[in-house]
Amino acid sequence: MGTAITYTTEKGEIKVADTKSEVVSVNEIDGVFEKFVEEYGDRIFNLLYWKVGDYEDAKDLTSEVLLKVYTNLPKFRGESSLYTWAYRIALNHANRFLLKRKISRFISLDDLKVDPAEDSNEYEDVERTELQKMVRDAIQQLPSKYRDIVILKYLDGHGYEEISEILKIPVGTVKSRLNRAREKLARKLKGVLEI
Amino acid sequence: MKCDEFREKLDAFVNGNLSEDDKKLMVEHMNECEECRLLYKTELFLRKKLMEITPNPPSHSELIAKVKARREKRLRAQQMAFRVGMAFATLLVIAVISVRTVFNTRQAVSAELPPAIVAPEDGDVVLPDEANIVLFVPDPRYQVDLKIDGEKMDIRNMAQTTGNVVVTYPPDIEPGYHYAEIEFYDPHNDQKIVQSAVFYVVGDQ
Repeated sequence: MGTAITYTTEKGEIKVADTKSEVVSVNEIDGVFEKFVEEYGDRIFNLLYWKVGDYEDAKDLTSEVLLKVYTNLPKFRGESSLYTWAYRIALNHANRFLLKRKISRFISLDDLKVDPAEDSNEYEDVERTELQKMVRDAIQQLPSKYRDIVILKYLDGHGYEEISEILKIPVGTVKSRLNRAREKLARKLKGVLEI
Repeated sequence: MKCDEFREKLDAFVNGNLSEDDKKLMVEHMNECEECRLLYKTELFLRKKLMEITPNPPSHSELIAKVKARREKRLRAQQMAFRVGMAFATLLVIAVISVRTVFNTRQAVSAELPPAIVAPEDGDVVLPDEANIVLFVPDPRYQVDLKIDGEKMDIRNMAQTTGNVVVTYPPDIEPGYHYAEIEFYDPHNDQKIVQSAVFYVVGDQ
């Protein structure tokens, strides 16, 4: 997965590596951070989009997660790959957001009027949006533990071992959750798949 | 082949990692079992379509600009909080000195103004970097024990004392609710004063 990013400054070369063996050393955080955004910004956005199901929320969350990455980059010790580390930050952040959203909807009951599909759809044609809405709703209705695995596997193309490392759960659990997630999605997407 | 085995091997099948015999059995099973056929289609659909129907992410320059704006906003809030905190601490020191001067007290520990937690107050919301516990300790003879969330802190290594004001800097407080409990012990009169505060540390994102 990924390539090592190196960034050269007058003070020397800064490495932000995507392997376990290399540790980030940071003299010029801004430069490293921009490289990080180039390399991982889209992937973090995609993760957050499918996690929360709303474009504008995903955009805000992406900038919040990136700020957290920026703040913590100097403390990164390379115990996991940079991407795994950032991915965990993003997942935790999104889980907290979803919990807050659930609570606020429970309190105000505004889930009756909020439909993420009605937000920010200027960027797509109708057909694609319809399909997207259907798949997004199906994924949104999955319990979080299944949703995370679907996103990591199908969006980011991670294998069982990597998913196990990111989520810190055994490989067997990854497999069984994936099977359950697939069964649930199959039932929800039956209409689309049988065309 | 049974459904359980089909599901177990589905991923390897789509990856092309099964033996010829197994592939054949998978295909046979799919032809017989509608439910497993649907699972196979789901697997293909998710692999091919999920990325395709993901909307375009915002531009990197937009993301970086947003991060910078958030960072500056946070810095301003921290600076403001620091100024307010310093002003408050200064006022407190002046107040204590004035009281001492007026009453010209050089009495036993228990006769002083009682020790107290100055900040945070119950219900305060603070940023992680400002999660400092500020104490008013009227006499250095008080023994001060600080617990955060029930865990005793080594106050000597993280406190800074200015006059009667002790500012402690607990290391790395996680976002969320926390409970600070301070026990002031007067060894001369064998008396304890316990004070507590519940405060909320906002996430540093």
